[in-house]
Amino acid sequence: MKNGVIVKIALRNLRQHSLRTLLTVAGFAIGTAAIIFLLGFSYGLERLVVLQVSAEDAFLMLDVAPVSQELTPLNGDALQKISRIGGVANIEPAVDLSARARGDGEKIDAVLTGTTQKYLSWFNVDVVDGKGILARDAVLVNQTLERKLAAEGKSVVGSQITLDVVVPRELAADGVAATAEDKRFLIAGVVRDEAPPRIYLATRGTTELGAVNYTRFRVMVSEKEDIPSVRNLIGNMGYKTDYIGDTVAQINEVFRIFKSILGSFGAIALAVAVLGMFNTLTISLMERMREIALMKVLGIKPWAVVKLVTAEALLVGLMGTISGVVLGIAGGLVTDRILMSYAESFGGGSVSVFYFPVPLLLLAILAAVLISVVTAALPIRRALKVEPLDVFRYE
Amino acid sequence: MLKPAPVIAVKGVSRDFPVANGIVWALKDIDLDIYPRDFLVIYGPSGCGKSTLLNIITGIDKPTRGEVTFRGDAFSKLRGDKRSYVRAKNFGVIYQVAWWVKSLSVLDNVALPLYILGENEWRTHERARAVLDELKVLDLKAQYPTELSSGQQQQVSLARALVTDPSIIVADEPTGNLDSTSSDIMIGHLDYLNKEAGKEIILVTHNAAYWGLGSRSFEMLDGEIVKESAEK
Repeated sequence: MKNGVIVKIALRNLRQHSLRTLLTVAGFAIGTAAIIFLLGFSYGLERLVVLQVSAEDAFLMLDVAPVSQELTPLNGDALQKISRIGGVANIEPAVDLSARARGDGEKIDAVLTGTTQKYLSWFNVDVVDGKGILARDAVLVNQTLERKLAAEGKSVVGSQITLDVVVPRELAADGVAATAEDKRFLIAGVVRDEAPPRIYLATRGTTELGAVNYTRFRVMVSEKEDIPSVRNLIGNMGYKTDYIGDTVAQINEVFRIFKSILGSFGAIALAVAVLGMFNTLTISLMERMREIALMKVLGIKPWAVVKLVTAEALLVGLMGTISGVVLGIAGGLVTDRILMSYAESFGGGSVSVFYFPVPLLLLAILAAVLISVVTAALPIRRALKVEPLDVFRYE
Repeated sequence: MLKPAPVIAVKGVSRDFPVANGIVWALKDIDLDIYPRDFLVIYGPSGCGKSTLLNIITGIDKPTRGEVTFRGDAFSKLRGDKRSYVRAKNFGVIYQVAWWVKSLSVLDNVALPLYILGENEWRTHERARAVLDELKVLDLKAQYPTELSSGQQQQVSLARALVTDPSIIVADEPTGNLDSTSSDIMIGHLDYLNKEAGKEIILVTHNAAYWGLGSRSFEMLDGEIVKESAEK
C-alpha cells in the first residue's frame, strides 16, 4: 500500500471522529506545551544568569591571583613570564588599594584600582560623563563616588580629587607598608557603576604611589581550547586562576537539576496525554476490527497494517506536538511580556526570562515521534492479531 | 470430450473446530473441482459448513485435513501472506453483509483492493470509476457506503470485488439481505459475469430458488455434500 494512501486513510479515520481526535490532540498539545513552557523558562533563566556573569569574550579570559604575595608576587616579572606562555594573547594587570577621598570637608572611603585602559575595556566600562582615558595624574570615578563628591546636578569632571592611599606591605616595593597622603588627581570621567565608591587610575600612577606589585592579572587566550594548558602552566608558576567557565559550569549544573524538576512536571502532563492517545488508538482500533479484518481478507500485508496504525498515532502526536510547541512558545512570550511590563513599571530593565533553543524544539518533535510509535505498539500488536475468521464468525 | 484442468480443486478437505466438549467437524472429506467458466451454486441450510468451505477455497482459512489447489498449485499449504496475495489477485469476494472502511467514500472503498495491491491513487480511481459505471452506480461514488441502501451496498460490494478484474467471484449469501428486485439485479450481474466475462462464480446460498441456477449445484448438510445437480 502506498504511503500516501496510508496517510489518507489515517487522516479520514481521524476526521471521522473529529471530536475525539481534537480532544486527544489537545491533550497532547497541553502536555507538550507544559514541557516547552517550563523548559523554556528554565533555559531563559539560565541564559539570563550566564549572561550576567559572562561578557562576550569572558570564556577567553582567566583571572590570575597570587597564592602568596611573599612567595610568588604578581609583579612585572610575573607579567612578562605569563605573557610568554603559548596561547596567551594578552595580559593586563590590576591592583586594588584602599583610599580615602576628600570632598567638601567629607572623607569618603573608596577602592583605588590601578589598571590599564585595555583592562577596563574588557569589562565594558561605560563612561557616562567626561573622558574614559586613564592617566598617571587623572582618574575615573564611579557614579556612587560622584554623587558623594558633587552637589546635586553638578558634574565632577574637571575638578580635583585629593586622595590618601594605603599601600600594604605585600604590594609595596621594599615590603614595608606605606601611606601616600594628599595626592591630587584630576577627575577625567565618571563611569556607570552603582557599586561602592571606586576610583580608577593608570598603573603608572599606582606605581608612583608605591604599589609595585599587582592584586591580579587578567589573561586573554587566543582560543578557548588554550584555557586548560594555560591554566596549568600558570598554576605551575605558583599562581591561582579563576575561570568564568567554572562558574558557568556550576550554574549549568544547578540549572540541569532545575530543568529536570520542571521537565518532570511537564512530563507528568505529557504522560497523561500519552495515556489519552493510547486510549484513543485502542478504542479506534476496537471499533475498526471489521475494517482491519476486511483489509486482511483483501490481502493487506502485516507491514501495511503496522504503518496504518502508526500513521494515525504519528498524525495525532505531530499535530499535538506542533500545537504544543506553538502554545508553549506563545505562553512564554505572553508571560515574558507581562513580566517586562511589571519590571518596567518598577523602573527595571526589560529582560526576557524565556528562551526556546531550536534543538529543544526539534528534540520535542523527535520525542513526539518516538512516543507516538511506542504508544502505537500495543494497538499494532492487536491489529496484527486480528483474525478475519474470528471477526466474521463473531459478526 | 476431455475435461479441462480444474481452476480450483478441493481434495478430501475436512475442517474441525474445538468446542467446550471436544471438536466439531464443520467439513467432512469434501471433494470438489471448479472448472473454467463454472457457475457453482453451493446450497444448504445455516450451519451446514458452506461458508467454512468458501473460506477454505479463498484461503482465508486452512483445512485440518486435505488440500486446495489453485491452478495446480497447493494453495492451501501456502503461508498466510502468500495466500492473501493470491486471493487479492485472483478472487473477488462478496459477503451477505457488506463490510466497509467507514471513513472512506464509495469510490475509495471500491478502490481499496487496488490500494492494498500497491497501485497508485490516480490509476486506482480511474479503474474504480469504470467498474462503478459498468454496474450503473457511478453516481454513488462520493457518498459513504453506510449511507446507501442494502441493495446499493451490495452493488458497490460487487464493484469492489471486480475492481482487480479477478478470474473468480465468490459470493457468500449476496442476496441474503436484499429484496427481490435487488436480488434479481445481483444474480443478473453474476450471471452476466459468468456468461459474458467468462469468470468462474461460486455462489453460496440457503435460498432453494437458486438451485440449478448455475452450471452445477451442490447441496450441503452437516459438513458433507449430499447432493449434486447434473452439469448444464
